[in-house]
Amino acid sequence: MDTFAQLLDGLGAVLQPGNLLFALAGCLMGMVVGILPGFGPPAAMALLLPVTYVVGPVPGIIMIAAILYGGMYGGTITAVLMNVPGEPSSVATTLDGYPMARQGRGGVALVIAAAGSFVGATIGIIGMVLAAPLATAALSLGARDYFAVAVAGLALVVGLAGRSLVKGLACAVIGLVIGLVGLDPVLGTPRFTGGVPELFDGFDMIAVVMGLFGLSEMLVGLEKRVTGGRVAELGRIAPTREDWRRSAGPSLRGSVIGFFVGLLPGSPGTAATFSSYVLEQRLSKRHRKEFGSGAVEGVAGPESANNSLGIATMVPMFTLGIPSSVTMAIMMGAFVVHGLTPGPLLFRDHPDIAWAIIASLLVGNVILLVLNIPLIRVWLLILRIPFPVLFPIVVGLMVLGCYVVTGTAANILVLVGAGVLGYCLRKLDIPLAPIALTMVLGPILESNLSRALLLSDGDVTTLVGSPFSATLLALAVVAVLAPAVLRTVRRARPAAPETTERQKEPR
Amino acid sequence: MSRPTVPDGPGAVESIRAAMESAEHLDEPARWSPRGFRLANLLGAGVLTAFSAWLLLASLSYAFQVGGQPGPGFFPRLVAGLLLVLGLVWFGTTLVRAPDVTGVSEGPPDRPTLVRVVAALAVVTAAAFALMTLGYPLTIAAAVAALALLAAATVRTAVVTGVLFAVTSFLLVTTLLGIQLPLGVLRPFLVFLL
Repeated sequence: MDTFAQLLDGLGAVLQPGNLLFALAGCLMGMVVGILPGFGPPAAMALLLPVTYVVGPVPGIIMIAAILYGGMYGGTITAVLMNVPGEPSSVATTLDGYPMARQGRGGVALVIAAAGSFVGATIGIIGMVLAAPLATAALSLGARDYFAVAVAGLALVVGLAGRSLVKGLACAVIGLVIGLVGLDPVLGTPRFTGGVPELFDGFDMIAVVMGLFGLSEMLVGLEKRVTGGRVAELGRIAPTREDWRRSAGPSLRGSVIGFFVGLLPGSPGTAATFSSYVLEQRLSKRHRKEFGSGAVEGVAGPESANNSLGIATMVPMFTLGIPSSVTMAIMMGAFVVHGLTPGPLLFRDHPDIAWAIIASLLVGNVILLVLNIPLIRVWLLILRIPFPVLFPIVVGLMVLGCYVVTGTAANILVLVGAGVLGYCLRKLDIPLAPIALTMVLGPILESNLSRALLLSDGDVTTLVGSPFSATLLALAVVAVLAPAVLRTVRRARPAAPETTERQKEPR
Repeated sequence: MSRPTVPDGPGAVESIRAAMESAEHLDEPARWSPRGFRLANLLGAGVLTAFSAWLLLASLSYAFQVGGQPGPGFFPRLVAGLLLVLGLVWFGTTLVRAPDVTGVSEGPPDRPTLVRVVAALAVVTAAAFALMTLGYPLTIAAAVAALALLAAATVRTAVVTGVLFAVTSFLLVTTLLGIQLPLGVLRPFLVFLL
């Protein structure tokens, strides 16, 4: 009941006109950037983060959260109308969303997606509120436990991120290396700064993320010099009663799947969205044949799962102070810039801010739902901007953003460096997500490892000294090795006839 | 892109996997050849190994222990050592067995593409160096126009995009957000905005 009262207090704070305005602005900006083909929420958040720096902590974080959902929904628009998913988790939406658009039901698909997203986010927020008391329990964790939590989060991301374990691990360690630059978190000694004062605070996270995800994406786009595919017709917008009836169940089921999958650090959104898709296909008796050619359930389920997952990934950050996805790593960076420390201390020291932010998630999703329908035709105009105009504007915004964040032109060079790194890693089929995550996790890992070793007089076995840390470290080892072991086992097995046939098909 | 259909029953998962793979390969310009991908991986692993060796050497200049507790060199040595091992393993495994090229979403850039990408990076780098001297409006107008030309815009479109972007973003940032941007050589003409 206390939790509920605090949530109501948070809602009261968010519903102040100023905060509502920032939530509205965040949703709009997130959607505008998220709609750019290939621009997922991480790039959208990184690009727009500098804008939030000019406002205070609460409106700033509210705005960032709004940018996140706006960016997520922007990806849905391109998935439905252009068959270009803004992020991997939107791929499931293209399976039925795009056929719906080709049948002249693009507007219906977008409204159902928006409603499904709202249901997903609402269920996700309820789950998050229920999980909030875990933050109090987390206060009793020691340095070794936090170290183990960070290692486990990292291991899950590496294990799930790519096809090559070595490349995934190397990528994660590159993130740690980037995080080494600056003052060391224990004694404050400058490291790898080359005497450049601008580097004492380390590389600016926004410039690195913008370069890794945004600039590298634009450079890949420059190779083809096209924005995307043909934009399908919007057609009628209002769903029928039958559409609503058919999408209600999938939205609820997708939300539950998304929430539980999202609790696992590093869990890919595709796991949630495709699980929801397959479940709906299996459950559907009357409309099973429509799947793949425009079933409304195939849009509602995955979209709900995706949004619920987006909220669930915030749980580890709010309760433990550990980011479990790239977007959360960016958000955590924003918390720090605004002078806040996400985690259990936030609930203890600034409960008003913590609950205002949670309440803002709910309000932001209502705004998104309300905004969506009247603005659908505006988004179509953005989708039709030709690449030769879009490319320089987006890169120009990145340059401006990098300068505004730190007030130094040197940050633009960080953007270029990160862009080159991201471009090369994409070409080598190396996942980018672990870098952004480990860049944030690095100082957490280092300070907790050092503190744990200091408290135990350098005894390394202290790291597995508590049941909690030992279990998490064991899980980390399993998470890293399991995909490789499974692949080896699969390779060792004789190929099934169906698989053999598929392998023969030309790609 | 031809769209896969999603059949009923047991084939559903396979179809979804095919859809995901094809969605990853939208408008793909080129494919890696197995040999090319192996060479690229060897080069990547070599650079990573060399960098991690340098990092390990550089981290030796920081104290490993200070007053009985881990010093500023402790974590860097750990990280550099780990990276060195991973670089060597990557290099070794690529040498022994060619990496699987199927499902790799990005292909190698051809020469004209590479020139465009490098030129775009050069434009942004030049903008970083020119920003304080030339000022934001001039630098960003020139940079945006140059980037538009690289993206195959006509000269007229490039100039209009550059000028419009520079003026709009400058006015929005300075007046609406209250953040000062460098004026450079235009300072005498725009000083009233400060």
